[in-house]
Amino acid sequence: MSIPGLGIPGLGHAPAAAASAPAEVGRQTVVHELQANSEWRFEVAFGASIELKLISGTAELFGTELAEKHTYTFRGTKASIFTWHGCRLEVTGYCEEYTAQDTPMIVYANTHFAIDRLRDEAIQTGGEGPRVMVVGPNNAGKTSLVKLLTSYAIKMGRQPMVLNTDLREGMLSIPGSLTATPFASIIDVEQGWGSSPTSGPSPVPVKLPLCYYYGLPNPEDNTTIFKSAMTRLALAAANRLTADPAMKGTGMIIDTAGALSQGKEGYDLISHIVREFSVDVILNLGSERLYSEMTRRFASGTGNTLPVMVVKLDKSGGCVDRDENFMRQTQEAAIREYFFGDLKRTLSPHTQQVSFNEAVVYRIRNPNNVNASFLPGGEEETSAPTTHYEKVEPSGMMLHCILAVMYASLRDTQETIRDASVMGFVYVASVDEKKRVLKILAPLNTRIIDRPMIWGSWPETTVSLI
Amino acid sequence: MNSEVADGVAEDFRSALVDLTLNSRYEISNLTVIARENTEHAYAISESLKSHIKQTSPQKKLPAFYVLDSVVKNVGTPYTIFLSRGLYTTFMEAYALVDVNVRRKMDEMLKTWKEPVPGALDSRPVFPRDVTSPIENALIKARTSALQAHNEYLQSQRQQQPRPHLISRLYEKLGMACTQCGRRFEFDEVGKKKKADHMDWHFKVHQRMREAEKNGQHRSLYVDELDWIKSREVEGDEVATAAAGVNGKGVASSSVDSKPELLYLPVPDDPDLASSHCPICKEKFETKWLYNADEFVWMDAKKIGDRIFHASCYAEATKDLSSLLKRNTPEPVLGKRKAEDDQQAMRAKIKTEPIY
Repeated sequence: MSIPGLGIPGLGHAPAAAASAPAEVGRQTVVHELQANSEWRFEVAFGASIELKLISGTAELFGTELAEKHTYTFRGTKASIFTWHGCRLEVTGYCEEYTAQDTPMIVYANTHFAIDRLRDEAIQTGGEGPRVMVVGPNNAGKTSLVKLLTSYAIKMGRQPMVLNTDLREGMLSIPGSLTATPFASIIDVEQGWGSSPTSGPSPVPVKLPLCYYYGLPNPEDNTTIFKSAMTRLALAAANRLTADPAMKGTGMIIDTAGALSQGKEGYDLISHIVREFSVDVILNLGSERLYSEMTRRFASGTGNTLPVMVVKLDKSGGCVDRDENFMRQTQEAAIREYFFGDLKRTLSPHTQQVSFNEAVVYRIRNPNNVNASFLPGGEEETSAPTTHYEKVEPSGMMLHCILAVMYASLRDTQETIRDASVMGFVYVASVDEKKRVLKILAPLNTRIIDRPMIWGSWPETTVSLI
Repeated sequence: MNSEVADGVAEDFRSALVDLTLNSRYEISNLTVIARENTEHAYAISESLKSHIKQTSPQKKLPAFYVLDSVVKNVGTPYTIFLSRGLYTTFMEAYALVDVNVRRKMDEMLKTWKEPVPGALDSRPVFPRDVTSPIENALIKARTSALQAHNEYLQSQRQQQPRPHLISRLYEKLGMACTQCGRRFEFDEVGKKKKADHMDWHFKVHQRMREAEKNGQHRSLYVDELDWIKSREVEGDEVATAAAGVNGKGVASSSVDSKPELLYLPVPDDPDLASSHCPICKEKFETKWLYNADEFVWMDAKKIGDRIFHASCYAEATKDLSSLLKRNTPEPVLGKRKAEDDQQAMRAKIKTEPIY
């Protein structure tokens, strides 16, 4: 049973229509003149859109150069366009905007060239390129910096492996997923990081992520599952690097969760990431305390790690707080995009009926609450439950939830399922407890539910997708 | 008279050394036998060996070190005493001239000098600690200072100093920008050809997108770990899966279910890694001197990413994954992949580490 993406009432996502909507009253066109080394910062609300055209000069969005006289469309975003040489931008539609002269771009670019020199050295000696990790609190511009470093590396003919370990925002996937993605081609300007493969063609070369699922909103919620996901991600990425000569000399760029930058538990998780990924360079954005903690922990090496280069970078004045509401909308847009596509491309997901008996669903147990201190006296911590999932019968509680379909078999152990990568995500559209039937939305018309599925509490969807 | 004989023996030894260009097991053991049978001339032979190591070209230094290594391990005193004199200089001078691979071998060799001769009754290390420690410390210092240099360089980049000549490497030096996506192509013939192909690609994609919009399209499933590791981003803007074993040297196990062949790895030079255990069974690795590989190896070992596993443990642990691969994949996720590539991808499994 197919549900085409278009024409569903309440979908609120009619691509193409928004761009060419008739009679947009008050849709003015303005031309902005930018001096060299200045930045145009803008915010487009959800449901609104702007068209932007580079009339002359050069301009880049987080490192990706804009094509001259090409129309770009932005919706529901907060971003900035920087120019090294000065430019004229033509903007149609309403957005909050201003131009800034004071940016940390020179430092960021210099950092890129410094990292790139390490790559040159690695290639000359046949070694591996630097593994760079970006840390900092939420809204310090970590992802923008990761994107900038990735773009510049691609421009110079490198092929970086980019890792997302931030649960608030997905990279080429939905929020809550942890991905590793090789980048050899240009990053999409309009749509986050671009798109993962679809059955059709893509205007911007698709990227191929390897996807893992954690299922909870914060890394601290269940450190065991989070750590094992990091380990799997690192193992796969390192494996790809060794096997892929084009990527080996470039190395990795790792984005992290802002939540990790706020205290001991987070720092310990950072240590785990540093160890598992053999991080060489840590770029600190915007937190003095974090920088000093990173220096203390890693700059001179430990018993089992080599010294790490710890660098402090200024946060950009363009970083804006993205409030809960904005984040939620961003997250929902990403989930929608996974199933229904974006402005440039409509995707058609499929609904499938699954009987309660067929669905093998594991629910993530309530996490770290089983603290050692709460255990009855004398009980060793090692006797804490080793199972982090419980097998559950489908129920009405699953309505509007996202399930991760794992690359594992139904008979596999919990550990195997936990360590498996994700095949795809499905959305529970309805639950009929009487008939014992689930209706799920799957990305494609193939029954993929003869696999174990993980039911987490993240990402949450507050409104119905269909 | 005695010194004349000694000179003669040393000269013979030296001329045999000069011919030693490869890590030839035969010649190395031959030279070891000569050393054993002429212990009364140990001093002359040792001096001859040291000066050979000093003077010979970087490519021949490692085989000469293997002679030194073999003599001290198989004959021992008095060679150990004579060869420890100036070992620091001999070692460090050579180390400075050789490439990364030889350095790694030298690191491994140095490590074995800190231990007793494998299988020997004598529990003392090959060379006394006061001979090996200065070398070790110097190497650690060199590595740390290289790292510091990098670090200082990176820190210095924090200056707000514009470097227009660097920025031009991101713009004008890259060539002409594509009018569709801004990607730049060099001005030369190759660049022009690439750009023409690239424009073609844009054109075709637009055509195909109009088609696809009519026929409907959907999100593909994510690939699994093994396919992902083998996939390659290639020019032409399509994600493609390259056949495994492109590096030539890679040994891919031929069948998913076949018993893993005996794999080995050079003993790692990274001390942490060298003291590591198999993450699966938690056991240590069995170290062996493999003559045909001319190096110390860990038997049944396989490097996956940054960790070393017992090849057999790893094969066991990933069996479930590979059996999954054999099931019918719901759809080819990578549009362009042909059927035979699929099969090959399944057969090839994870590419194992090349043996150095």
